[in-house]
Amino acid sequence: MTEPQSVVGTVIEDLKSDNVKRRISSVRQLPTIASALGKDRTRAELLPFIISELIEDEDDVLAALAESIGDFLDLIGGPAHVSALLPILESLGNNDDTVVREKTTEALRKIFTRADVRKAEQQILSLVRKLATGSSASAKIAASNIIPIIYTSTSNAAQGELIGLFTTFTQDESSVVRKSAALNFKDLVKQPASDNELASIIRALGKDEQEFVRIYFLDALVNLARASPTKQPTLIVPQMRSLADDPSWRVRYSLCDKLPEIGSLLGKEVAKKTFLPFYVKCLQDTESEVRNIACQRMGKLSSVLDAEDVALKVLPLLKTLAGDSQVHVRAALAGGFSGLAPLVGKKGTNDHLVPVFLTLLRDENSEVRVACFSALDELSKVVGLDVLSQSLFPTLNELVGDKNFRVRVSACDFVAALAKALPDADFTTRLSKVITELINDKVFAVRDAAISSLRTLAESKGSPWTERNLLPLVLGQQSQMNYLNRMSTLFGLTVIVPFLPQETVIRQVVPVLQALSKDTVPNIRLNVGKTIAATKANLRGSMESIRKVLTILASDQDSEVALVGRNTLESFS
Amino acid sequence: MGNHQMAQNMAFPEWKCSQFFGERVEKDEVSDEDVISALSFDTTGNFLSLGDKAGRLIVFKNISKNSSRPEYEYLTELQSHVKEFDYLKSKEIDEKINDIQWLRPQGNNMYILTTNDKTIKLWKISEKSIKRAIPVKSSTLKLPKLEVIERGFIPSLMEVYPHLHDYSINSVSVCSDGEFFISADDLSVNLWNIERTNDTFNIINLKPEQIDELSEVITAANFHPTSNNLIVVASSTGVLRVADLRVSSKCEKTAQIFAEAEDPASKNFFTEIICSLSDAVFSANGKYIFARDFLNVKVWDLANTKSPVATIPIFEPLKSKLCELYENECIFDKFSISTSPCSNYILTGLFNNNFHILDRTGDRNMQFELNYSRRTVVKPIPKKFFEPLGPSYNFDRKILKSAWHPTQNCVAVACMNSLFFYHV
Repeated sequence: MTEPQSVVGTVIEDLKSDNVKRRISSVRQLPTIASALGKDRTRAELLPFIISELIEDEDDVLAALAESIGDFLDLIGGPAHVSALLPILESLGNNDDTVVREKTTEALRKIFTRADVRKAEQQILSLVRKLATGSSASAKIAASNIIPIIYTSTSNAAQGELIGLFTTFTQDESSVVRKSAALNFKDLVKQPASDNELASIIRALGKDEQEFVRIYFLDALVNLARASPTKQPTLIVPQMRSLADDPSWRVRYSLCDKLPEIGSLLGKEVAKKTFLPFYVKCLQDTESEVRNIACQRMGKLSSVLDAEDVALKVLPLLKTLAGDSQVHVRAALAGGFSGLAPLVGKKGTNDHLVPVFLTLLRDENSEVRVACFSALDELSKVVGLDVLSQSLFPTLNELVGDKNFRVRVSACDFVAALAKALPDADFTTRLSKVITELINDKVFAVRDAAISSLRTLAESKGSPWTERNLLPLVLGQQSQMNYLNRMSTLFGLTVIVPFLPQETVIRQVVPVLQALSKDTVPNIRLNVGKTIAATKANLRGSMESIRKVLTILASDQDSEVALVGRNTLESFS
Repeated sequence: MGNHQMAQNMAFPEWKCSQFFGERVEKDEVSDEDVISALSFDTTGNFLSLGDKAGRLIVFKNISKNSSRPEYEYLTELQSHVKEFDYLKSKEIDEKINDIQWLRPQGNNMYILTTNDKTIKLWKISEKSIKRAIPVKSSTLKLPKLEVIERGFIPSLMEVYPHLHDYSINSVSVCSDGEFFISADDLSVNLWNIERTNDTFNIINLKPEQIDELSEVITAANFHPTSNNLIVVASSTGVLRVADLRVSSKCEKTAQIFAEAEDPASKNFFTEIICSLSDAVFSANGKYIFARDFLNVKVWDLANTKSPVATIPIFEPLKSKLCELYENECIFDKFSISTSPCSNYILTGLFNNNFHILDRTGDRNMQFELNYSRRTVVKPIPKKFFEPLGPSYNFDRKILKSAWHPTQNCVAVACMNSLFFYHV
């Protein structure tokens, strides 16, 4: 299929338009131009044009070019001609702009996975060689991006050379090149290579004085551990061990961040021996960011810690952490420590974890208190809710009355969590008051969150419970003075009607809809229409009355109400 | 041979004025817009950029074939910042350029960071040939033929780092590998990644709990020339902080403090004002810090935080004029300080068309006087120098901004709207 000549002609002209945006859109359509020109003309004319004219263009245009070039393999006659694209790719790869380089790497990946690398190996190698031995850092970075992509497809001899080039990058005097090599190393390690070669790279990177090189290197070590478990004892574990003692806080942070994953890769024995002291130190680190991540990961470290270690080493530190000077550390603790509960068992939880929980629940900062509630689930599974509920309610009431609306929004989630866990009687007395307060909140976001929480409750508790407890709540709103609160009835009905039995719907819900359809505020009438539309499936039992309501709405004074009424009526027939 | 002896044995280099741009005009005739407010050589020394109060960035290029003596010519200029209005605070944001920093050049492109009070911008200037397609009527698809119209330097705005400082930005500094830079305002220092404009990391925050307890503001911040984890921060109380970014994420508490114990005997009304550091830089070899307060240059060794290795009075007769300086507010002027590539000499400016080149040990102090006839007027200032400063001492012709070439003994000095070059 070819586009009309004139259209393609315009696109070609726009390749050199004065307007940058038109040039970019033109460059994006290079595949169209190429297919209009045909494979031979593309190779003979378009590619040289690109090299001589477009390559000098602005970075935005070049980024678009890099994107298009990735699809050019077929347009020039298939993978056999890949060498024709190499000069363009070399030029793009040399570019200083990171976006251009990233897109070029993507394009290279696309091309090289399809192209027969072996056949064009010499040219590809010379491309990489040129980039690698150039003087500009960008060229070397481009080369280090390319090497992992082509490595597996090249011959053994070539692989040796590529690793050699890569090794020079890891020892380059420019720190930017070393950082890029470290970043790309994590892709390189996924592919099989001989121990010796890797070992020298690993040694160089592990000792690098740039902290970011060491951080990226850690990612590579993790990938290596995953790909070649046999190398772990000799190569990987000692390196990780030395990173644990690193003076730079960012390195310790990354290591602590990845600890759960590392633990599962190395196996508990090794992980425990190597990292348990490190983790305990992190919990007491002078840098608050490290303490933060250590607390966040606390619940996920079953791959590294076992019950005894937790009891001996971690539990004693919890009290100090609960009183940490930094808010975000305490909040992280609140979110993370409950994961220890299954490890320490009922007695341990009662003795150590519950007191910490209660301290954090009374924290002066609402963020911390809010984070506590996510811990609730785990803790209650181990010790049951009664112990906790006595302290929970006062805190919940405080949160519901907090000045900051975002806190009240979070409170809605906990109400749902609490209601799920509590037996019925408790709900009616304590939580229904709380939910009613939230549904009546001045801020819409809070009311909205309260109503969504009704959905979670209805889902988990089922039909009869919903009818008994939630329906009265929702219906109670309909006679409020402020129309915004009456709206809550309608929003609430939309949420819970799917969970109600038919007779209830007919007996209780429809009359409410009828009453509200005569409300003086147009917005209410509008939402009656919307609610009916949303709960269509459940209203089949009372079509007559509903149709009457909708007909009245369809002839409403307000044009929007009438529109909704008419549309909903149509959808019913 | 100790440093001291070595300095004495080395002859002080002979400096000559090589070029200047600008004319001799009366102060009132100088348009305020043209006053040069920032000055910086690029990392190779082949280019020099200056910023003025009108928000313009002007670039000069070294056209000399002689590798030992650079000669500069105007290359191009661009409008970096424009006046803006801050809607939240109902204040105008001045377009004056406060600081300029060059990034390492890549290919044919120059990258320059400029900042005004609130916004930092990264400009790229590249040499491009502007081509136009020759219109051709053809029935078959033909690729356009292009002709070159002209070659020129096209600026393009690469990044804008948004308004993330509460107070006025006084300096930006790029780390040695060009990946990060810091920006400093009165109370905080932020760390930015060159490529990310949507957030920044605050590394130093000196804001006290109660704003009335404010006693110290930041006046300048700079990266170490080779270690990209060390920064020096100068404050208005004469204190230097050197922070290591690897030790902790927030550096106020872990920074090393370089401060001299106060001598209560020598305190007077002006001490608090004149001890404020106007600028501080690391020496080119990274071993020393050169800091300038109103009357002195202090040389600190990184290994010694208790007292400076040398305190060099720049021009002692100024001491007698402190009252007058206070009244005409020149006592608050901020002069920049620069290091020589060999780390043995220091450049800084003064009033009355004067600037000084001192050696690091304080043994020699040469005062130069600018003039519009390309003569080199220089006189050595011995220790304990005194001369009465008559009414002709011109406080308006001050050299606030000056810079030393990164690899050669060549300096650029700006006085109001004029630019002068001296070389050895």
